[in-house]
Amino acid sequence: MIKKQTNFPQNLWKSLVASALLFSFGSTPWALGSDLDRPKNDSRPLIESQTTRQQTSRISGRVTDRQGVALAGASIKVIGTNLVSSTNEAGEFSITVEPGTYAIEVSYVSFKAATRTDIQVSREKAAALDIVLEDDNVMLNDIVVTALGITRASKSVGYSLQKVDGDEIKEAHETNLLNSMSGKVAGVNITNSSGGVGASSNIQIRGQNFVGGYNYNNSPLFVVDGVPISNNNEQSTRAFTGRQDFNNPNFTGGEGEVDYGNAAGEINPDDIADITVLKGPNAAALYGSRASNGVVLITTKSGKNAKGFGVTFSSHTSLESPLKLPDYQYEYGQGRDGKYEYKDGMGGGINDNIAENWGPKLNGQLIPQFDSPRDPVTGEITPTPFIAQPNQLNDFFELGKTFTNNLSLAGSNEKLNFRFSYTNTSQTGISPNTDLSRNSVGLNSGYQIDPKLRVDVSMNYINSGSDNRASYGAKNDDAIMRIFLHMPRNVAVNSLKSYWKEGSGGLIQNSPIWNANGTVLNNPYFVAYENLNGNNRDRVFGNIKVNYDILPNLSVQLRTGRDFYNDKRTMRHAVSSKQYLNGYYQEDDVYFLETNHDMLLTYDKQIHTDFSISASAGGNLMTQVSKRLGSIASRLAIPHVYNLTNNASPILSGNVYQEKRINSVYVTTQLGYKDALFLDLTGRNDWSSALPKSNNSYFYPSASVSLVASELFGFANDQINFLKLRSSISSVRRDLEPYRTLPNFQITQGWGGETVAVHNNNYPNEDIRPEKVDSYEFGLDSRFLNNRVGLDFTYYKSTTTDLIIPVTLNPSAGYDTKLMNVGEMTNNGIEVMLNLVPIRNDHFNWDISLNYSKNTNKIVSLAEDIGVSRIRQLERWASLELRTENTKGDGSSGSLYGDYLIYDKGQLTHRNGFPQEENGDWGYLGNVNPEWKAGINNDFQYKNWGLSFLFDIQKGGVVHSRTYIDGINAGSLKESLPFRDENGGGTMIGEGIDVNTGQPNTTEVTVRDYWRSYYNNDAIATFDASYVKLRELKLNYKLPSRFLNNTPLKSASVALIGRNLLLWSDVPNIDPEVSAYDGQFVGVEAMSLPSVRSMGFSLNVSF
Amino acid sequence: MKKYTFLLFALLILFSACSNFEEINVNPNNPIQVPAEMLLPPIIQGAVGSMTESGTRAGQYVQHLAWLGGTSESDGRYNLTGASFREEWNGPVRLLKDINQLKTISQANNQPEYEAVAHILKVYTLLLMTDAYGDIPYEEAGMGNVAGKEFASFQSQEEVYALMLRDLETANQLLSQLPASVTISRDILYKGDLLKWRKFANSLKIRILMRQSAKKDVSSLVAEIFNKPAEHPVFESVDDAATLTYNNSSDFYRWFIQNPPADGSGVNFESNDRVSDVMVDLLSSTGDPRLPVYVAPTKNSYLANRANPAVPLQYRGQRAGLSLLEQENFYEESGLNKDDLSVVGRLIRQENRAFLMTYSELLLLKSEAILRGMGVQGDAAAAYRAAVDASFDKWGTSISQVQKDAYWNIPSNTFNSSRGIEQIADQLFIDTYLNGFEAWASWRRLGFPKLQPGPSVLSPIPVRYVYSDNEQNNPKLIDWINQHMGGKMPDHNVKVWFQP
Repeated sequence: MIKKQTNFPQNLWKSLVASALLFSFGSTPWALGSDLDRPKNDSRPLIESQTTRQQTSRISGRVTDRQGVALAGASIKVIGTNLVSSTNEAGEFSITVEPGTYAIEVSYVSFKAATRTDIQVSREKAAALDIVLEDDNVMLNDIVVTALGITRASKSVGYSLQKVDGDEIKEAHETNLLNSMSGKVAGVNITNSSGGVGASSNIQIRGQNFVGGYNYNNSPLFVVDGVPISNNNEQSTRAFTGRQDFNNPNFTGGEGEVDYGNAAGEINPDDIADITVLKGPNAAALYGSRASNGVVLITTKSGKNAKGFGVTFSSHTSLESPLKLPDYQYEYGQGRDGKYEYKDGMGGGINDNIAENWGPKLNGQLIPQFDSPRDPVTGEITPTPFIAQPNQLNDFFELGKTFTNNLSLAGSNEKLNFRFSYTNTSQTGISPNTDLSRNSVGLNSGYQIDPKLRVDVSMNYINSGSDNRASYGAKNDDAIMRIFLHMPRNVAVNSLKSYWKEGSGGLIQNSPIWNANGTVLNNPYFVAYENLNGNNRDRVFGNIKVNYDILPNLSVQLRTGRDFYNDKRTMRHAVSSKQYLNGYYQEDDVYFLETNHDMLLTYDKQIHTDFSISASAGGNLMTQVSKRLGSIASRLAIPHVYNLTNNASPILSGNVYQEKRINSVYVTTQLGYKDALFLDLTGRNDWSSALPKSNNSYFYPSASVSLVASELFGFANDQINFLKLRSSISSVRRDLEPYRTLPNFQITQGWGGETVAVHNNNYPNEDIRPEKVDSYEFGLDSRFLNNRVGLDFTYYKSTTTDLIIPVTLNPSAGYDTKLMNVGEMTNNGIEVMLNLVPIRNDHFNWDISLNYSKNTNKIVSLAEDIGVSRIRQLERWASLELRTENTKGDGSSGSLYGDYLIYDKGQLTHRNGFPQEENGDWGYLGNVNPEWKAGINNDFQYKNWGLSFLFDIQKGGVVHSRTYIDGINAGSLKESLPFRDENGGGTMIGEGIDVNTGQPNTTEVTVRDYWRSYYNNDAIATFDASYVKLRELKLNYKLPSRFLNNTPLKSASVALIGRNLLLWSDVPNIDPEVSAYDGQFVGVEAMSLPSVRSMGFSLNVSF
Repeated sequence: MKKYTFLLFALLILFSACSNFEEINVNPNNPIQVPAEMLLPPIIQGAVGSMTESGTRAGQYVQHLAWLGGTSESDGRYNLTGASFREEWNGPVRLLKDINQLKTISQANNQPEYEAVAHILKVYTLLLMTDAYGDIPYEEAGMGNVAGKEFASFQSQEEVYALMLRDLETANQLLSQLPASVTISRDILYKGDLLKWRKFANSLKIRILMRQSAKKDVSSLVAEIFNKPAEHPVFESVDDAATLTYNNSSDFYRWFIQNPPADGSGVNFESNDRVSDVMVDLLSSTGDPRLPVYVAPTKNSYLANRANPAVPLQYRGQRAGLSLLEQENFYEESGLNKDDLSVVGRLIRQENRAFLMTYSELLLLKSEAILRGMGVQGDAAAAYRAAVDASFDKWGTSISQVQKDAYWNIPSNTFNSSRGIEQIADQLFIDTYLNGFEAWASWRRLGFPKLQPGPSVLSPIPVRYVYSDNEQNNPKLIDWINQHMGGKMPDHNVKVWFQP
């Protein structure tokens, strides 16, 4: 027999390799293993037996399915020993044994385990076996994690859920976890806010259920290993009119926007074993109100199934470039009405203080320009040819780079399992001097103290930070896309690189347009290297869990978990910035803590051969605390000194503290009949601190049924392999943010920097009741034709009543909003998942998976009886409003309203030659929510090669583009070209009628004024957002085991991955899949950085 | 086993330990009550800010200012809708919630001095609104916190004026009963001088009464105030006038220059706003010493001749309401450019003061009342001269006695009762410079100075602000419009009630 301690040197060796890798991290991550020869003294491989054959022999063989397709990765266990092995790509295995008689067990996921006994092995004769595994019914034994972390047989679940394998998530290598789920889960809508590093993504399942509060209140609940974690999106500046988080300070009131990312985005994909999405509130009744938007359950890798000790290493490198850039015009340069001549950029020349491209034609004529040579003595500017600089943005942008390296160590034995993982991600953005770095450490471990008692610990530490994040926003003078929209087409980007004005001593930026009391166009390099938005964030989340079997059928679980982060942010604006001519410095401290203690008693019993019962009861104590501390020096006394005491005007400072608690008890029961019919009943009662005492206790029940018809009625055959019908109904209630029940005063620094008070603009409500979502769903899950066709279908409907809405009041009411329970809203829709296997044989496999979802929202009523017929949710130019169908619009949430041109019988009306727009009573522009979404993935496997591509499709929905309006206004987009004359000026007569005479318009106006008037309305810049994206293209190759036999590697693979490679869309200038303001305002584009196309290479090895 | 059971019980106890939820939900960041004086600065600042900011639109209509042709389609050329007047409405009316709180707190704490100030500030703020918008909510303004008053009811301008007079008299009474030692804190307008507040209240009554004097006989009410100063003290000097002086460190006047240009001019030549030709011509044609205070010399003349006092600097006004083409034609014909047109003067930008109601205005109204035989004691000409002097005196030593004498030595500058109304109106127009609301209201009432709109403007000169688009969906407003205005939201050419 092989002695146990022989494991040691080899493991030690692996640890050394691991440490070496840790030290070499980041620098040359893929110079891996090539010269890592096996140590000379290592002569006792446990599993691979090639090198030692004096005293031993082998059991070898090949494992296939009924069609003879090799099964790679099947596990082989020699019964009565601790010898285990697994099959290679060819389905082959080989175990070194001493001569004797053995029995082995062969198992493989979704196949029935097989045992072979009485295997004779002698020194002369190795045993060679051919083992054919029988298909197991995939669905029958599939295990899923459901609410409260309870694992269930998938077939017994009476509601819709969908699982995404951890490998798929990992391979996408997105730095925001949410983006890697795009297109993969039916009914889940993910919107990426921008291509900036660390940008946030917005996630919504089955449409919008709630309208109060932040958009992230429509985010599903994220749960890691059974404990909720935050997906908040906490920003430092928030400047648009609309729903404000009135507990968070927003001192500046400026238009600068920096996206600090959504909290769930930073979970390390390398540590994820799988993600299960519980889609409806039905699935989630047990998680309480926060789960009424669905739940994303993340299970991290635990090392439990690792055999012995293993090390895996993966490295990924990718390069990012903009997917779509605005289509600028390059025919006319800076100026207005065809006139331009540079003198001082302050209006001293001709139109040289105008950030527009309505100037002369770029014909190479000689004109004094900003970057023309200047006599140092006389200041005389030598005119230079007036020509286009067509690559301004491309010259400015850099290739984004992302490096991700992960090392994990895992091991297990009968009592102990552990997995340690370290991941380093470092990223630089397409915008110069923007970056993101993230270090994640995860430890997951369990210990079976005695047969009845088990302790599991899962801990994750993430440090993430950036020296500079890009800022954006359609009114933000630091937004790169806005700067380039106004950038004179005749300025070479190179001339901006030395961004301080010569002789200014680093006090005035070098910009084509700079005037202390007038117009300033920020130099993009100045913004990139001087106006920095850095942050550093520490986060710890994890839990400790104790399980104890009190009686054979009764067990108890106690768990405590927390999610904690502290984000330290700094914002700088250098002297001579447009918004802050004297410089600016801000610090923000963001603190968040959520703790959950819970207890669960579980009783399991097979009452009779046909009946089973499983019941759980438990309770949870949740506490959420968030704190903010912020200070601003809005003018600096000494330039370039970023210290709050360097303030030339009174410091603005403030802090807030928020706390909320929810106590809950819950019970769940599952009754099973013949392991094929299941009834689940759940009930939960919450007590929330955020609700007034009289309304703070609320109960919500759910029920679901799962009927595995193919089993119960016994008709499973090769045509119909599996059929399950399911249905569920639930009623969930929901509370609100804290401190919304008592009126209060906001205190701020006012006149002369002294404290003043104003009555809170958002009036609370002492009688507010919890919102209620009633929902039901039914669906089926089926497999046909030897499991080659799989169909999962769900229909759902939910009705939200007593919506807690900060009702928009008219200004004359004094208050912006008043919190009320109003209205009723419904969502209904379907979700379809279809899996096809057109080809499956020994060498070649083709899988198609398709998901489709469609959601319809309807505002049934608001509070018309008291005069509330519309509720403005968010407004920045165009406005998102809730209105019922009897007012303008489609009566569903996500309706966008704005101003529009007035047509009379198809004729555009004019007044004094200008198109007339209606901007008093706004018109309906469309709905930002898609009609439907779909994802299609094709996966080909040929021997060791794999190729897959994923298309992501959105039909319908609108997107409003500020780039379009601002760009045409500035004369920078091609739409502004028609009718300009040879010199760049010119007049025109707009087509249409005069509003006074009714006759054709005959008034001549300048081209610039006409187009600026024509395009200055919300409707014209609102487009059908339908798109098709080649979301992912992946080619991978697994090294055949024969290459690995003489190496310590267990497996190795390489892959090429492209993300967001192609886009088909009718929306000009921008990627329609954007949202403004860190995902708060889906459907409105506000000059965030363009989304990126990424191409990457990754390597995975394990040994 | 035993110790596990014990552990379990310990945890169960932890679970059952519910804390006091109601205490948790009391906002620790924001107080539920504050002292009355903490509300004062933002209310005063907000009201005055409305006057200076929102009043800039009115200042364009009344042609205090004129934007370079093509740079102000909305206010220069009157392309206007409810969306144009959004902040003009929203900002001031939203102050009412805090004014109401000020009143509530002062009543609860028995602080009649703050209550009186609350009444005065409510009237001051809403007077700006009713003058510009006509019918407004007065009694229900800013009461969205009260159940059933989420949507404020509107009242006619006539009714609103009556209620304002009532509230000002309440303030007058409250203040009259207070001992002289009582003061108020955080008073950025009058530094706690209650007599001055009382004078402001009574002077505002004169403004309100004279405003509606074309529609209603207010003679006896006006006479009562002017003739009985013991009961109704009004402004008695420039010092009494309602003037907010900004502190220049955290709070800046609309026309303040934070980054003075290197040319030493103390003004901003680069913006698009200019002083109108009406103002410049009126001042220069009468030898008015306020010209160099109000108006900066043109950039071209300043840069060329600043070092040479022998050459007089040039002042030139901008014609209001030009389109871009019209402006360019003007440049072509005159050979001038945008730097030959004057911007707002340096002293105004340095002194950083906003004038809510001046002593000069009060005296001009007095002169008018005497002239119109409303029973006010005194001499119209004397009041007129005192009024103009009071307007000069606002600028302290910047306007010397020599300059004043020179002005009065011009015969046409003395009061002539046959064209008294025009003279009074012109002086109101000049004195209220940069207080667009008041100048515009005075022009709408008296019809002077005669103003010409631009050659191709999109409508006649506006005589009304249009309800903010954010207010237009107020169901109570819609009811009001249906019942009193024939169902049509009034546009900017529909007169308000006071205008004859």
